[in-house]
Amino acid sequence: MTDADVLAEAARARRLNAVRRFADRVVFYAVVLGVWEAAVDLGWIRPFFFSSPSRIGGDLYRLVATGAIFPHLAITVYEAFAGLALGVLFGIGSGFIAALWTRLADALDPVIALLNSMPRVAIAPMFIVWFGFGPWSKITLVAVVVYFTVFFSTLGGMRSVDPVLLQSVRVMGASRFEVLRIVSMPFTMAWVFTALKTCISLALIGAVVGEFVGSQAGLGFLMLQASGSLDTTRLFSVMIVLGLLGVLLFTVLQRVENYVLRWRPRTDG
Amino acid sequence: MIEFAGVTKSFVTKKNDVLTALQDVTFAVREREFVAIVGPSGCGKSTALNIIAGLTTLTSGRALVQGKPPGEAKLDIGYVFQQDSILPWLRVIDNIEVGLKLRKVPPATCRARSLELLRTMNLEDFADAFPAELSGGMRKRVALAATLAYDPHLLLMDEPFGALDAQTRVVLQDELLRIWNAHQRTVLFVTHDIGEAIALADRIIVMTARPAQIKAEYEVGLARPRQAGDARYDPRFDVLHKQISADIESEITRQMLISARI
Repeated sequence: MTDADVLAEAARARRLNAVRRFADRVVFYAVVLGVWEAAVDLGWIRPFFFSSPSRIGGDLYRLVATGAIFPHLAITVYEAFAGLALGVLFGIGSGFIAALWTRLADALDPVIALLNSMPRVAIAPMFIVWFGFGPWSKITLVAVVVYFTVFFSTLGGMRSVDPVLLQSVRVMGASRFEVLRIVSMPFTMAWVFTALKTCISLALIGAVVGEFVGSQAGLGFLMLQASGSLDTTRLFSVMIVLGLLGVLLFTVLQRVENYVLRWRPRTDG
Repeated sequence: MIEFAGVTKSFVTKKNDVLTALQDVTFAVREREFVAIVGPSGCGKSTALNIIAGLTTLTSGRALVQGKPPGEAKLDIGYVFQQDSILPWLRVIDNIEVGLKLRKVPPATCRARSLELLRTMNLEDFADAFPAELSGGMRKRVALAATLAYDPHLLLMDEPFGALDAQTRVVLQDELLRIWNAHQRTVLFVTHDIGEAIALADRIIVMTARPAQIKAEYEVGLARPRQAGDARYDPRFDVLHKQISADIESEITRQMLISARI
């Protein structure tokens, strides 16, 4: 067999695998959704509590076709992103400061530990009082929720830079600041980037919880409304939209990470 | 160039014991001299290099580099570490240029110099590769190129070829000898390979087991310029090798006896 044959054979095996995996999924989901639908139609479970795939599909279609979902989607995405940006900015900034100014970090250590141990969304009612029912109470909540993750990964990154790399660049004649710029910062950014994926889901949690606590728009607001009118179909629809949003953002970030951190040794395979 | 007078270096370990890496070490390295330090592994050879590079302080005694305390001397030092020391997020060519850019060398000059070094190190095809894509031997060559790029006055090398296969090692040893002949820099080369020390150095300092003291010094006296591979066919090679081996073996035995007693 020539190399081309070997490659063709491998490609064929991969395709076959992909087709099989896809078919397995289609069959599995069809069975689950079919049983659900049938159970409702046959009166085994009540649609009032469990809705049904066809009802949810119809509702999703209406939400998208009438465009009713988009203002709410936009608000939630805006809150999540603005909060994420703020949290990341402050997290990285204070993480660097804490890493460089160890006495300050040591002094603040108990406070940081306390704040970090507190369930962060617990501050949501406070932010409603401070910032009102508009987007800013959610943005600040998301920022706080994201902040600690970014702060700790920045600090962790700065503390785990390989000392040989620091020494090596120092001996080459770099000043303290140059060592920071050439070695510590790029290394730490790689750590923070990895943490960003966690932050995306945290940001969505923060935005939706914030909307639950008090809001006038957003996907969380939509769910709260649906819950008030006992509309399980709508609850399912919005949950699906939130899930898809999370998957989309995660996938995009994963792609960006794979590119930005392409220098990392490959661990897959 | 380098002067150690009664240098002692002690650390406090994580178990809160005092570990003396160097004890009352006195030696000197002259300008343009190629000196090898050999000794049992873990004896404190690297500590000596770190003191010279200004990366660690000493506990007592006096160390001078060009007549000044280490770190204050205004000279370019190149340090090839035992471990991987190139930046994993920079491509090979950018790694080689780190030292040049720190010296504000114009980009065009940087590029010319790094390309020349890539050729010397046989890495031309890997200029744009990231370190993770290279073998250990290739990464070592990049580290060596990155160190040679800014033409340091003093070259500190800590078992630089330890992890390489025999062939690559001889090639790089020859390359080092060629560069040393051409530029006549001062080299302090730590190794536990006695053959390597003889093949490369003018003078060999043998250290004892920890706490490291100086056990003996030997003038190599082989003709220059040399080929690393040829040294072992010189009759003096065997004589020196035997003597130094005996020195080190007695140290290893002594170390084992000490640790057996504990």
